[in-house]
Amino acid sequence: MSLQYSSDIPLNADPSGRFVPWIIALMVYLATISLMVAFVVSALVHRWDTGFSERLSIEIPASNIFNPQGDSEGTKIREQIVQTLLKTPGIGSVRTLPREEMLSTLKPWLGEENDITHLPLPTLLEVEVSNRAHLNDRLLAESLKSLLPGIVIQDHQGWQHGVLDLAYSAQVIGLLIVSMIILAAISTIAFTSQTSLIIHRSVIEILYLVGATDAYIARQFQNHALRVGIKGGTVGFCLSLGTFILLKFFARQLDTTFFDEVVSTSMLWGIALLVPFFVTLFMMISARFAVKIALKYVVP
Amino acid sequence: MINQNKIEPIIQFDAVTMAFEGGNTVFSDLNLSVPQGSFHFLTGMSGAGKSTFLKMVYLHQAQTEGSVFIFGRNSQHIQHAEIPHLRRKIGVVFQDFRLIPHLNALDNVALPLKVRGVDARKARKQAAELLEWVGLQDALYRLPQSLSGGQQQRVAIARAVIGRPQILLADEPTGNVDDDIALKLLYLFEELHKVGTTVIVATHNRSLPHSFKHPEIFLENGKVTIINAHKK
Repeated sequence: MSLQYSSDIPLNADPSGRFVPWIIALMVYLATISLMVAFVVSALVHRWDTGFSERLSIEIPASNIFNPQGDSEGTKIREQIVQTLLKTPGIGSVRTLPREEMLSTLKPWLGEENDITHLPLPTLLEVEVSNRAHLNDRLLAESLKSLLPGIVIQDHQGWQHGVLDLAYSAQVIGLLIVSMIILAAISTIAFTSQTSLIIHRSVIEILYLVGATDAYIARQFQNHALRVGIKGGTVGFCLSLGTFILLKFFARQLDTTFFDEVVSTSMLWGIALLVPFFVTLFMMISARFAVKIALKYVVP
Repeated sequence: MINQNKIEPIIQFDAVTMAFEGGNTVFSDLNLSVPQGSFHFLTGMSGAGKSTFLKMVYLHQAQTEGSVFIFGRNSQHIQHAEIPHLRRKIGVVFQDFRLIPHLNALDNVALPLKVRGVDARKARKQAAELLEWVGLQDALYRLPQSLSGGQQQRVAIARAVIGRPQILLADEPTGNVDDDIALKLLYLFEELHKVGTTVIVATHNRSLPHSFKHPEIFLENGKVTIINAHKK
């Protein structure tokens, strides 16, 4: 990887820094992939979270309200439950799943030849939550159980919390990996800058003698870090872009629209561009400060 | 002691002692004033302390005892961050030239302007003019290692004067050149002196000061003697 430029200190010729652009490229690639995975997981979880947090399922057990012939008591209780739900703050709508719909769902399992019309089935109510913040789960459960003690309320939130925790853990781990990669990039640059400072001590002494300030010398290292960052960042960017183009290609081969639905292209571009930008920025800052600190000891 | 009461000293040594680790004392109780705009030869045998004296003036070496004043500032009280700004007022021609090997003659000469933030093109233009002045117009883009000792010397001189320093220090500037070029270089210093630059030329060649009407600071056995102090 070679990019010629004019500098008072021949940092580009350092044997210690020859592989740094490649190391940075690999770090940028890993950081980009980790961050993209974290964001994909986040988008996926958000989709699940939105879908399930907007619905409740209420099951009125068949033993309580089995009503194939039209039990008026059962119908009355069901109506009371629906009315209670509709009056509850945060509930948008309630739909009773028709018996025919339930039977047609069961038919493939029980066989077409069997008469299942007299099968005792529970009544299922699909409840749309319009505002989760206004909904008091505990109060609603108490009200419904007072009407029908055997009623089952499926909020999905129990298992949903577990999935969410797992997903957020994945996100945190992803961000931790990215932080560690950036830290490793910063350390690499700080270390190579300090090594270069020792290698080029004689040139730096001359610069001092002609009136160069610490800031001027540090700027040379900072500019070198910028060039290394651009080189490494460009390669890392191309690698990560290539990876996602490949993934997208394979996803299309499998006839899945997962990528297009969950991950927006602008988000991927944003991550792919921002990671090398921030890695380069941190490298420049790291080089500048590492050199400024080291100058006090290397060339007193 | 050089005494020119009417003119402010630009360099002043007050009871300066300089001893290295191991007990080697270079100077002992040295008192000296160098007036602004003067020209001095600094002479003495090898190891007499000429280079050490110059290093103390360009703030590269601190004395063991006493005080050194540069531009009226006590060197002990000068902050680290101020040193580059003071060094920009001092041009130094080093005995070993101290040219940056990977920069060509033009960029080496332009360096003092570049570190001050002068535009690179402007700095290179001035550097080219100075290299022409020292007779190296054909060697602008040559690297130091491809130049002879005398040519490197002239590049070093051009670099020392490009920033129009108030003090010019030259450590054995004629050591690597033949007599004709040596004389030419000294006339260059003379020209700078005429425009107000304080010049100190260190040389082990004691015959050199006799050709010029300038006083001589003679270092011997850690003491200083001023010869021909009346010369201006």
